[in-house]
Amino acid sequence: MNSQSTAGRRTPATRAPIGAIAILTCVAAVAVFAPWLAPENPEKIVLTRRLTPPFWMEGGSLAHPLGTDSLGRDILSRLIFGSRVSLIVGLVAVAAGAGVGIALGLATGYYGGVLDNVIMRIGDVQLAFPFILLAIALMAVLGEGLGNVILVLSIRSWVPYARMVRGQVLALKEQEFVQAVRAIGAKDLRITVKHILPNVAAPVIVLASFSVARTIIAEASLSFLGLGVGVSAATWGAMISQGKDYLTDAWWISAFPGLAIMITVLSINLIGDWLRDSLDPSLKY
Amino acid sequence: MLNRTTFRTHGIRTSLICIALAVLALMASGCALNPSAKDTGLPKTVVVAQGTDATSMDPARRVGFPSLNINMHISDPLVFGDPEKGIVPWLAESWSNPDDTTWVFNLRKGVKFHNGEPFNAEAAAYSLERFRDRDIPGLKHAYYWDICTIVSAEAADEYTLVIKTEKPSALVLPVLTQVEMIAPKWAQEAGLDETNKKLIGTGPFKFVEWVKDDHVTLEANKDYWGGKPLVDKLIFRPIPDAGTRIAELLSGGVHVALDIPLDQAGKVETDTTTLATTIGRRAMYIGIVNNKPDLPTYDKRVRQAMNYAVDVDTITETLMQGYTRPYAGLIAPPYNDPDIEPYPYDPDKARELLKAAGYENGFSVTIDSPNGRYMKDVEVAQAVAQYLNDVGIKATVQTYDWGTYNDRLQNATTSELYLMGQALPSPFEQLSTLLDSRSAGIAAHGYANEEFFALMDKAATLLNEDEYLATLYEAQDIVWDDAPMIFMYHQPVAWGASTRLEGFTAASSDELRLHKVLLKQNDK
Amino acid sequence: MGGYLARRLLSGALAILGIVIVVFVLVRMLGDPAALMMPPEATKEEIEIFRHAYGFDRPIHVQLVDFMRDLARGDLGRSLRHDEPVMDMIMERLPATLKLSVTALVVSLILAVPLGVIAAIHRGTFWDRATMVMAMLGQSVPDFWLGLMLIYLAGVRLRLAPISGYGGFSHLILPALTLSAFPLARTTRIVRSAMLEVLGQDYIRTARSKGLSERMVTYKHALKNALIPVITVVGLDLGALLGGAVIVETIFAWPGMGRLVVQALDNRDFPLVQGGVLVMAISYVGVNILVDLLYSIVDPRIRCN
Repeated sequence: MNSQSTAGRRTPATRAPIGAIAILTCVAAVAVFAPWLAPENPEKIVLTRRLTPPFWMEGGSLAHPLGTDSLGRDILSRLIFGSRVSLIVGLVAVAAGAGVGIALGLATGYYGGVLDNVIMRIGDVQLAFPFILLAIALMAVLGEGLGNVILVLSIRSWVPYARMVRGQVLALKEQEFVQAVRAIGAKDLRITVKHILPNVAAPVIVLASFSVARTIIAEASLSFLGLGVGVSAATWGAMISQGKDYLTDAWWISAFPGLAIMITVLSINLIGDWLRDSLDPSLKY
Repeated sequence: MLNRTTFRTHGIRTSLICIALAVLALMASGCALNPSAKDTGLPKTVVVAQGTDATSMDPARRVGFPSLNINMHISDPLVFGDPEKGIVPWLAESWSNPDDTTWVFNLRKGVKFHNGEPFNAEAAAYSLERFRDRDIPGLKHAYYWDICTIVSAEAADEYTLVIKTEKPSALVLPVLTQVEMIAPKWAQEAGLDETNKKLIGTGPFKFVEWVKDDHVTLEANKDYWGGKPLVDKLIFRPIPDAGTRIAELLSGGVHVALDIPLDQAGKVETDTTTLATTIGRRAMYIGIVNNKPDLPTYDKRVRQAMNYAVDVDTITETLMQGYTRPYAGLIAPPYNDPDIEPYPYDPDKARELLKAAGYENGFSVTIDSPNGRYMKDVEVAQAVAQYLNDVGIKATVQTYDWGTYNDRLQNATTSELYLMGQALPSPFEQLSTLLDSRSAGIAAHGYANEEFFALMDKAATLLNEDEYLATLYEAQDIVWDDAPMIFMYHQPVAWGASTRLEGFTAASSDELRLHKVLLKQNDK
Repeated sequence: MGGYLARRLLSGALAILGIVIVVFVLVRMLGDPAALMMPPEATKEEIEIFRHAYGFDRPIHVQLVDFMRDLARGDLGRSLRHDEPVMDMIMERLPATLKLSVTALVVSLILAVPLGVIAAIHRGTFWDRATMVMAMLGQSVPDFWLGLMLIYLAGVRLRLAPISGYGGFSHLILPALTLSAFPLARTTRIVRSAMLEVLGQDYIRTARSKGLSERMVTYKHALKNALIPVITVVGLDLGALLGGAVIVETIFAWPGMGRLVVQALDNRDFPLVQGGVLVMAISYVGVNILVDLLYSIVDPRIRCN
């Protein structure tokens, strides 16, 4: 390995993206404190005040700073509560997918054999199945709901983790330090958890950070197709899709959640980039 | 270093040129296609945008309005369902009933199919028989079961068709409005695969081609008996996204766009495009499951309370933009009972009734709703839930895709409340399909009132229009008081059209017929 | 090489078989097509007659065996709703899907490679940052949002391109641009980082020290090697795109595979869903095997593994 070139690459990129981290912290704080921050119940419908524009436009008022949607619900409140769903869906779906993927990757990599074959074939099936169709079919079977959306999105994501971890384990297994602990009689579980897991952490974290961003967008796409968390639930994705019929007259319905998704996803991607460069410069994306 | 700098500028330039070329190449071909906004008069080719593609070109196998709308321009039925005038002569010039179960139709003479085959009583009988043929695979036409009340259709002579029914039936004429003629010789020779893909009829336009999910092209039939087409071509395009349909209409890519979301109605009112609306005949309602004594909704007062609790007026004024009103009776004009008044919005009365029924503290219900099947369905369901919450009934909304939703309806596994809309071609069918729980289908798990059933049985056999309607009025009065549903409104029909199509109107039946717009009208 | 190919083909075939079974069972969990195929006033008996006529009243494993037997004969069955051979329906949509996905990928490559190279060569400059921000945005925008915006701006306001439908080349512009946004953004980033890595390698410095011109070094040596990871990703994208781009097809009324199968799913048209997913899975697996082969030709080191 050429140390000079690596060092040369790393220096400019490892500067922490302060802005992105600050934004993400803010979003997380908003999500946690949503009930205290939101001016009103995000699901409250008042038909007579529907399509109120934001406060700086004609007809708007500070009572609804970002306006109201087609059912007269307060956009700001929905935006605030929506951060919860987006973050929960993003984090839990990725954590679940990554968790299962890592466990299967460790197991298949370490034990190999029939287990390895079966699980990797299941992974092939998973990857070759057109995701949107799987999502539509599964959501139709399961019905709408937060848990089901998370389930569907995590089903999609376990394979890359399993493959990546398996590859790493296969490489590590033959290395001297693992052979050594095995020789002194360490148990399988202990070897994998204590000695192999830390070595695959870096690529997993990087992959996960990018998946969180993609999962948040995927939730929006599911909502667009009418397969969301639930009609009354305030989610950014659902807000965009509810506003799509009003793009030119009541742009505020979908513009604010659209902006929120973009900023959040952008921050997560920037942080992901930074993690990649500082944790594992050999990764490409 | 010098070398490197030159390269940089060079590299950037080449790359930029590459990018610019790619973008230009993409854009260039599009520029030529700009429609000119200044055109006036009927275009040579008229393009219609619908939400979905046809299912089949075969009148006996098609399902849904998009297919019907195409078929109706290629061929003709014997009688025509005019939105204002009711059922009027079409390929049949007149008809009579020698007895209760016999119908004699005198057919129009000199009409030819597009391939030159003559239209006569044999052809009419054949076309009608195809609708009843159990051996024709695939979907069954929405009126299939009603058509089966017809036991025979035969040619008495060249231009006289005789139809016999099992028992007296008020459904014969309404059903015949949906039975288009098909060239018999061609249909028999071509076989089922071919008749699935094209149609040879008697209509104002001839079938040219069908590219699935993209377009159906028809060309003018210069010899049409009902007037000469003023345009050369009529094209139907399926465009699923409403926003895209409007965008196409505004930019001149299509001349008619069906199913305009009401919120965007204003957008369609421009110099070159116009909006045509009418109150449709699709009755929207929230069905109330009421057939088990342990349900709160088993009590009539609870169901009435729900009707008082929901401000349908505000819903129609806001979500429906004032394009419809709360209905008085499930049947659309002109067949509605003029004595029925909509339930007023009276939350106090609703609370009183709930209290009287012993539900002072309310109860919980779920409202099932399809998602995107009807205009603003999910929003309407949510608004209703809010109104119910206001009087103490804890209501939440659950949505399903249409397939799942329909499955739940058919298997009677819906939640306590469910949002539905129905538009059947005759007033009798409208009432029986929605409410007669003796036959299965969507009414299976609901309403049972012997008095109502008796009136329906009576109405089914009445051939005298006045008696028939009077009986249906009576049946509706009972239903109105029993309140087996939250009565809402008739769904508006909103279509956009280019101003170049003079005289374009929306039809309450949801059926698009461009005959008045595109044909040179005969002086009558 | 032959053994490797055989192994890949075998595991690909297994994956396809797995998908066929999963789809078969999954669609049957969605409920009964009879309810959707019959008019609303149909009675229970009439629905039973329908179910029997199509064999939906038989045990699921019997239905599966039947389906497999037909499949082995190359018969995908007939669509319930359209009463047409499923194979014909798919063959009608496949060209549209191919046209759209290949165009989108070509557009993304034409733009991504130069952008990525510029960004890498000018690392840390304005050009680099601008490109990377654009790429980040491209990855952060939902495709339906981008599509709707393009329709209003390019279609309605500026009238640069036809809004929807399937026709000449011009109809491809908006859907292809929308569909290319994500691969464009991702490929740009990959090209950039791959270039950065390659430019730091020993052999590049050797080439430089041999006195080769900088352009020669960049394009002949560096770019060629930097494109290797791009092949994998483009292959994955193509495989996924061949499965149909449901949202883009819907917005732009494009008559492709995605819309066909989603409508079939909505209508519980079992044979059509099964056939459609089967063809998509075959495309995906096929493209991936091709990519692997290509990979081992471009980069001989892979073959040893």
